[in-house]
Amino acid sequence: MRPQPGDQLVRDGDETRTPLTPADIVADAKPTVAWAMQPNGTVVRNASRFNKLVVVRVGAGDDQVFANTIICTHDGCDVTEWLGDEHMLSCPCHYSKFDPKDGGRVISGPAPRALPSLPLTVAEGRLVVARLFTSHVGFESQ
Amino acid sequence: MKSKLVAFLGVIAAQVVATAQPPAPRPAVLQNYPAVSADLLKAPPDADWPMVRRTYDGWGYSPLQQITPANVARLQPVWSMSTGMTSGHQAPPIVHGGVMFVATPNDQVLAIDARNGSLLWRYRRTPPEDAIVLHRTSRGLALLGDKVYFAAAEAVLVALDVRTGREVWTAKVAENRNGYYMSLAPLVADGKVLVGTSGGELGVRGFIAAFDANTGKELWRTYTVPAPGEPGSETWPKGDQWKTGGGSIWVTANYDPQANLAYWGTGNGGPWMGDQRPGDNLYTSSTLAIDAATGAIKGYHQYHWNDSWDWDEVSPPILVDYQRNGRTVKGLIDVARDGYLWFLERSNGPIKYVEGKPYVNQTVFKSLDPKTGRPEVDPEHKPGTNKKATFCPSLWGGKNWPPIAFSPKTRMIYIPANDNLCETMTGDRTSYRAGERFVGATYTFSVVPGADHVGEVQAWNVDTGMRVWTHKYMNSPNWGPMLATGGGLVFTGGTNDRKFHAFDAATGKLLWEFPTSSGVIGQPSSFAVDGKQYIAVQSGWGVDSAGMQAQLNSVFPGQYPEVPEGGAVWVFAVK
Repeated sequence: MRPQPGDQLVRDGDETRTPLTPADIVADAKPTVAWAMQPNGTVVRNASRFNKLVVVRVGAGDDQVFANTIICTHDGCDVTEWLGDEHMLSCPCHYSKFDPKDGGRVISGPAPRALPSLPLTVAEGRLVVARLFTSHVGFESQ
Repeated sequence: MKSKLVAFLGVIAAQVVATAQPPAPRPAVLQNYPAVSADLLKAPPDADWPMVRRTYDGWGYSPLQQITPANVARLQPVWSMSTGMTSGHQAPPIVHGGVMFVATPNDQVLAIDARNGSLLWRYRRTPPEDAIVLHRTSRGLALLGDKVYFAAAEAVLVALDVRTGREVWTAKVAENRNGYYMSLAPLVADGKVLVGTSGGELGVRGFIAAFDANTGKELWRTYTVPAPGEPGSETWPKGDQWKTGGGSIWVTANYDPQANLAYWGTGNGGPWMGDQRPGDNLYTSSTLAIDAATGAIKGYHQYHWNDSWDWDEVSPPILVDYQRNGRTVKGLIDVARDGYLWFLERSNGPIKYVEGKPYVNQTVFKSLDPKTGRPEVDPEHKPGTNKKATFCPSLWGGKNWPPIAFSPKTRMIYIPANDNLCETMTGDRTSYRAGERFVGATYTFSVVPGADHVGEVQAWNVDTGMRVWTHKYMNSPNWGPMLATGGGLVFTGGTNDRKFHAFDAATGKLLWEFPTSSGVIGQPSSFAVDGKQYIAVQSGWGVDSAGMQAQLNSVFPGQYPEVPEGGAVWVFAVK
């Protein structure tokens, strides 16, 4: 199941399943790779790589943290690079560039559509999924 | 209740029977399809293009000679057909018995009446939605008997019935979740189907495996990175680096049937920074001579040791005998990603170095050992962990995967080159997690200051070892596989203007161009039906050609706009 409204986020590889807070997402650092987790913390939705997220900060406030799928809409590579001076996500395979502030809009490169974003909110100090992915996760022709 | 349900289902069944259509009669071209023998593959009829490079020696040469420099200006499309897919269309139209077989991205195989473009059957697989396929392409198919062999992207080998397109058998080649995927065409040799896998950026351990052509049973598997204690393991550190050492297989081998040896090109080491796996790292960035009967490694040549530039030597060398110093060398010629043109000598096993020289701007090799060809590397141009270095050619190499062609008439090889590109790279530490990127480097792309072009077609005489002509594409990189014909022509696409080009093979004069539906990065082929010569190619820009176009556009904003994607098969003839 894809991330659901109300889910919390947990850092990839964090076996303690500590929910991420806005303060955990550092500006101008590499993107935080994360998964959605059911609110009770029992299930991390990591059965499919299509649920993996990149979380970035583009400014000082809690509302300046954005989450997108890590799956590039071009060929499905992991979008792992962060262009800190531009505040853009970049795919290391074929160099598509996405704007996390603008719904994952394609800025340049061969990606045919926006990188689906996962709208977030903050509840009880934690990052929480506000709505479903803005569009379907995956790459072309699937 | 039960009886009512049975009666209800009976009514449905009766309706299904009543409305079922009789199967369509099988087209005559399929009914009459002549099975492909092992002997045919060793010496194909002139009219056929039965494997990716037409012949086992990898020449990409058709002896057909109706289309010539004198009439190529009248070359026109005869038919075209949309594949329904995006991404990079790199497979050649394979033709035998008047039937064309085409592989496309996204696990599709098409059988088409080569004469008129009628679709005969369509095969599609549905891989898991989260399959790891970082290069959505297929580089082709193989034929034997009444089967078509297809390497599905999620690392599953498929044998199809040539007359129906239905699966005869499938064989899992490797675990896709661990980053193994396939982009190559299978090689049919010695009654077997040989494949390897991609995944050098995902911490795979490369291998070549052979499957029984009739049953799909795996017969042998040979790793390109040796385990401790195996020959070559002394070139790896004593840790576990060999388990994730790379050496992936991206492109189909060429094959010497007499020696029963298949010549495979191997990819970069993993992760990218050589200082994280000290040693030569056999058999990465090499050509391997593999015994098709047993899988034994009978010989090798490593083009550069301890790769730190992402220079996969993916292309296999072509098999061609050439003159050197008054003698005929039973040769291998490889145009390598490291920017060097390599002349080698083959045998029943060991591979011997003959000559190496740069064919594009190359800043890394200071010299080559005159006996072994081992390069002396300039450390200033070798990136490392936390060590930035700039090197040329770029990580895409002087030539990437697109194959060269050789014409026995002109004695020239034709190279799709990209000159004047460089990379600045800095390594960092990375840790392995199955199925995840395992590279450990950041990098930026650049163009040599003052350079006036990138893409080229180069022609070199194999007997003199000298360049004869160069065609420069002033506004485009070149990602075009080459075709040479007995009519004295060279066909290739590769440019960002969607054009398919024909050159005079002897002089390099551009004689004909046609703008297709997308950029042409497919391997062209030539065939004849009813005595008439055709030229065929897939158009369909994508994968690395799109990546390079995006990078060039970042260096020269607005000058390298997006190339439209969407695949189609195009067939041309002189009218």
